[in-house]
Amino acid sequence: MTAQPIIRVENVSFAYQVNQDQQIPVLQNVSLEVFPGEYVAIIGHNGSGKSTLSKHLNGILTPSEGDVIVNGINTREKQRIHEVRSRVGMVFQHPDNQIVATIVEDDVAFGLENIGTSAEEMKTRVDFALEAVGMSAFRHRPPHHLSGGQKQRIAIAGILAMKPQCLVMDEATSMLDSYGRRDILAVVRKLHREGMTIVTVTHHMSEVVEADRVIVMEGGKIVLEGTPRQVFSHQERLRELHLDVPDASRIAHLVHSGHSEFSRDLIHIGEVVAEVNRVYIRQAEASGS
Amino acid sequence: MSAEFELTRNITIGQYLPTASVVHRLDPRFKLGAFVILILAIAICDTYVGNLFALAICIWMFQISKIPLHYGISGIKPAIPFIIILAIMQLLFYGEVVNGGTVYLKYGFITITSESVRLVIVSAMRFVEVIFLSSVLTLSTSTTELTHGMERLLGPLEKVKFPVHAFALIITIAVRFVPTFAMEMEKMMKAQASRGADFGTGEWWRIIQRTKDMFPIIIPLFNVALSRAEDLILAMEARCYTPGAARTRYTEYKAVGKDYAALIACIVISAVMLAIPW
Amino acid sequence: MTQPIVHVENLSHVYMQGTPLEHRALDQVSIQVAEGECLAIIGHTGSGKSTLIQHFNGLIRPQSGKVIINGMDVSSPKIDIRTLRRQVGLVFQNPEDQLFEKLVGDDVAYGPFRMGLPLEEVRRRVQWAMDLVGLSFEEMKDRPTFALSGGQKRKVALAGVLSLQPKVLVLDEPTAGLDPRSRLELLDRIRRLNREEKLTVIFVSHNMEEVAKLADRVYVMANGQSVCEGTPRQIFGNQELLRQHHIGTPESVDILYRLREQGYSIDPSAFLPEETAMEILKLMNR
Repeated sequence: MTAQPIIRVENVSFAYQVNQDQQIPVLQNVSLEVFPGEYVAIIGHNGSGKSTLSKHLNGILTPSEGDVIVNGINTREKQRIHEVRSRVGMVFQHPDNQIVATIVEDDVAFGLENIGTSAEEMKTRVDFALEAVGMSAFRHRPPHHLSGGQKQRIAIAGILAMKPQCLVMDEATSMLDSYGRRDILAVVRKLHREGMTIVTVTHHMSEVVEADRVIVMEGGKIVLEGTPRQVFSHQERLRELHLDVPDASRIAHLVHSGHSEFSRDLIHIGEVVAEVNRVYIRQAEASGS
Repeated sequence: MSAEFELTRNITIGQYLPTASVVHRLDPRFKLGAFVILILAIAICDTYVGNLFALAICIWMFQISKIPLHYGISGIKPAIPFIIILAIMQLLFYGEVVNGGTVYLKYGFITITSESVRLVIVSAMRFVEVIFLSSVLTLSTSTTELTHGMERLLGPLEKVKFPVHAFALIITIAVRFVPTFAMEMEKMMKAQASRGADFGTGEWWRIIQRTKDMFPIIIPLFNVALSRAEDLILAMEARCYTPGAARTRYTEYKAVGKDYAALIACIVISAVMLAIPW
Repeated sequence: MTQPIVHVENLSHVYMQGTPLEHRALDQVSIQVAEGECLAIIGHTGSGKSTLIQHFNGLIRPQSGKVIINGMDVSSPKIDIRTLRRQVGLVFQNPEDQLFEKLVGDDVAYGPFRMGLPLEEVRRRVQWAMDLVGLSFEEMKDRPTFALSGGQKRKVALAGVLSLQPKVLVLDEPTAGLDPRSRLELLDRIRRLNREEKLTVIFVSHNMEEVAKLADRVYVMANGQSVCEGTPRQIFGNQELLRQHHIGTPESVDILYRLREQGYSIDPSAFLPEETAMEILKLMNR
């Protein structure tokens, strides 16, 4: 890719300061670039540093060493932090803990109020954002009667209203049921198709296979990186890291070990079905001729 | 019987009743302002007829806001013991303090005069009027509008460095989290009861024991509240919130004719109330 | 079949009866659970699962219908609720929130202490319960609870319920929000409680992989009703029903269905990835 990256993470290390002489290192010398229009998934078990990394992407945390550059702005520049945060929006894990207002549309407008958007402009942006997540019908509702998935959609709308270039999701689907998760994934997929850059931190492998690029973290470092297909081909390594692989990939590996003609580099269920077709037809031809 | 743990779930601050009446559609700033003026007038007015007039106005307000009167009456019920106790105290002890009027009865330290009787009756009427008025206000105004209205009315205080914005935001967030914490508390009570906790079954005089019994709920709730607050701060920061910085407002209120009319009407009503000499 | 340990008959429950917010959460639900079984209750949010399980230890009393737990009638006003709650251990969603003692051991001991057991017995039970969830008693009992990881906290909370030595363990979304490692470990512990300690386990879940791995039998709930019951094999074999109630299937089941739709002769009730792979291999090696 020749375009300029939206986010550049350069040799970032980060440690939590417990007290004067005790530090807990969380990130060690991490470098990463996110390009416009990309869909990046970050995986790793709890404590691997993936959430801490994601919180660096819009300056919620600033590195102990190294730099994070968002669209040319270093996140250390406190006076330009609003520019950074309106470019890179972030949705968090708990649906309940990121809604500020008592009415849905007020909450979506919260970020806009903070960056001093005019009232008329806010109206159009709130309309647009609620429409984009399919929650227009709920604009006058109080948020506590909504389901977890609906609350997360409101949180996404609150970010979209600020017209960011990149949406970071920090385990945003982990508290949702399968129904709510499917909703959120559909929204994210649509945003990505329309050009939004997506960075998602997740445990769910079905979300990972949708990404263009997967980053695997362990002990505060990036240990594996590549397309989902490349990453999931390292099943042994992933097992060592206590990470799941998608069922489709697992099944492909199992079938491959019993029948070597069957490809093992499959990650989507559709691919497994197609591969069964391919191998089956070839065998039929072979036995027919 | 099943409601053992469900007392908290049903909390609603200000039971908003959306009947879409003209009162509902008033600008909340004007509504709050008119409310304050009427309450002040009620507090000052101490005549029989003035209060009867006020009571009639209150009932009429239920009518124009299309809210059934029984909502107001159900608000009075819990206050009845207070009204009665207050009335008895005033009847027994105020005769000596309030000068003037005919003496009806004098027995030991108890003096009952026409003035003290008036005070008793007027106080009870004031109570009812205030409850009715507050009911109309909260039933016809959503909490969001109330906080908006309050923020705008307090606006001038910014000049004396009072953090009006932050104050309004705190109230909004508090209101926002009331139902959340009610659910949380219900869950916590149920979870601890599931492992053998009892709440409030001990004798009432063993206050320390009863307080200790509440620890398994209070401590976790406190922790949950803290972690929610931490999350919320992160989420607010991520959406560019800076404490004390200037913000614009999504909801703008534009007062129209009817808002001014309502305010003027309430001022006139207050003036009439205070002008009535009996 | 012997007398079921949990017997629910025509149970209905309405929240906020007689108000505009009235909501029927349970509608004529009947469920039987045999002793030693591992039962899953599935259905999406709002289907009535949580309301149902709160009847099992009397947190909610039946408005209409019957709930009989190990011979005790929950609707009877004379029932000893403490005895009932000792027999049915209920673990709520995100149970780590309910920890309140400073030290792990003290928190696990809360239940047994409330039962008025002697110190020695409390200690024995705490050790037993911590062992069962995979927390070393000696190593962990004096650790501060706040310093534990999310997965460990959840285990402490589970131990806190197990220390009551219940006959029936009821769990609401036991693995929600855990990372894959903690999830697998916890599932394994629950399975052992059921298989080795012979606890009757009832769990609510929306994670179908979990249901496939753990459950002997499944009830599907929708709109406050129990719409279907069967083994995971039967339930996952009935795709129409699952679609109708918006219940997702494991990926492995999806693959089998797609293959069958394309005319392959395949058994779609093979729901574990290993079984799915075997089915495909059978096709390949024909």
